[in-house]
Amino acid sequence: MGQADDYTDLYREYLPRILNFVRLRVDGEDLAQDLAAAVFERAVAKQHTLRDPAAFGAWLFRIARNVVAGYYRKRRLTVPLDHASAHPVANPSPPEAVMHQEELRQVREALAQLSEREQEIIQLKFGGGLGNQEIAEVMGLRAGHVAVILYRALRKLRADLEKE
Amino acid sequence: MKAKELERVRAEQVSQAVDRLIRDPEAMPVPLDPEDAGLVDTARRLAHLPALLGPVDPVLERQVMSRVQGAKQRRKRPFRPVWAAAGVAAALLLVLLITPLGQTAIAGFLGVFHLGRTQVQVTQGGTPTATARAAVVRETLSLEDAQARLPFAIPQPAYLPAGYDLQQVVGYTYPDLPAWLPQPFFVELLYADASGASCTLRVYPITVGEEASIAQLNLATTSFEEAKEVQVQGQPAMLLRLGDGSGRSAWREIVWEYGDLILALSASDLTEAELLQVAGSVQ
Repeated sequence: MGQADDYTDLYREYLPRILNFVRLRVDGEDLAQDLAAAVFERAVAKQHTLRDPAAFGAWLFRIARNVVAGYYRKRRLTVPLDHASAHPVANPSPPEAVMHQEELRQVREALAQLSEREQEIIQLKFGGGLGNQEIAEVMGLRAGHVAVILYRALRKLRADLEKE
Repeated sequence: MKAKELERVRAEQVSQAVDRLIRDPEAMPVPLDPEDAGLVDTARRLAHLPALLGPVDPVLERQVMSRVQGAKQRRKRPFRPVWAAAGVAAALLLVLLITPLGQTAIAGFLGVFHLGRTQVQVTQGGTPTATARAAVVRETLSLEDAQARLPFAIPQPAYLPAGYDLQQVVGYTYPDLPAWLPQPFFVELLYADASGASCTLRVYPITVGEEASIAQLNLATTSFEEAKEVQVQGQPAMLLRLGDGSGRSAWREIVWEYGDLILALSASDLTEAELLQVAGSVQ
């Protein structure tokens, strides 16, 4: 097993990929950043469990999946509402129409129509940039099965996105 | 070729095309079955997701890499009790800055009031800017419509000052909150008399969806004169008196837990005793 130094560059390389995967798994940038930070906290603490440095990506994304799953099991909300009776909550000004935000919204809505497993594969593929073999290792599937699920998910997404 | 085998072959071909697009979203498409060519366009849209999601916040990157480097250092250094003591002292100082239960808050102090399953945090600051507030949609509803859309029974006061009637029910929806959250997220009931004197009851669920609950309600105000612990129907409650600094109270608000709900009753035209009487009659 390599020294901790060897993994510093890998951690840095995988940070945007882990963050994007988490961003697609949860709603809210602050939450996504908190969970992404938690992924790396846990990874650093469990680094000794990484047997094969070549499997770093799959290992890290397994941790990311578990962190997100843990969040959904135990979430509690802090209501971030401005509740000032003397200053009733005003209607916000309409959000600025930014093309890429609208595109992101459409994609998120279309993704939400997929099954949980299809969503995860799309999120690992396009958010995490993982190949089918890596996705298979993360999710405990065969690579060929991942390809078929991905194929079916893309067909559904195409139908949904073409409606927009 | 059997349908299943054909699907597997096409799936592999599409996967190869997708992986190529992920490496280079502007890459020219590879030849595919005509029926699958449209999937490449879909994949191209998805391949742009990282760009749409934006870069990593430099603060997050520093935080993560600091952890990584720190772990490396800890593997080399033995445990230092003096650092642990300094960490505990800093944490205690932070806790002491938070006003404990029952203590009267003075304008400008941060107050946290524990109601039971939830707590109320009172902060004083300037009027929040639109960018600081969550996007919200207010919708006027009939009481029946509001009840039909909400997963909880809407309580109402059995006692109201003479002449007060239910005038309006408003549902608040936060479109940016997670999709699994039942919405409207909370409702507001406005009671008033013919002169316009009014009081408002806001009803929040403590439990939201199947696995989440509200832990804390943030009460932000530009000025308050007093915050103290009271009791409503035998439950701990927080009474907030808002003022304009002149000594004449402008608003009073009581927040308390009622079963699986958080209730917040506020008014500018009622005395503390009247407000407590209304709150105590909610059922």
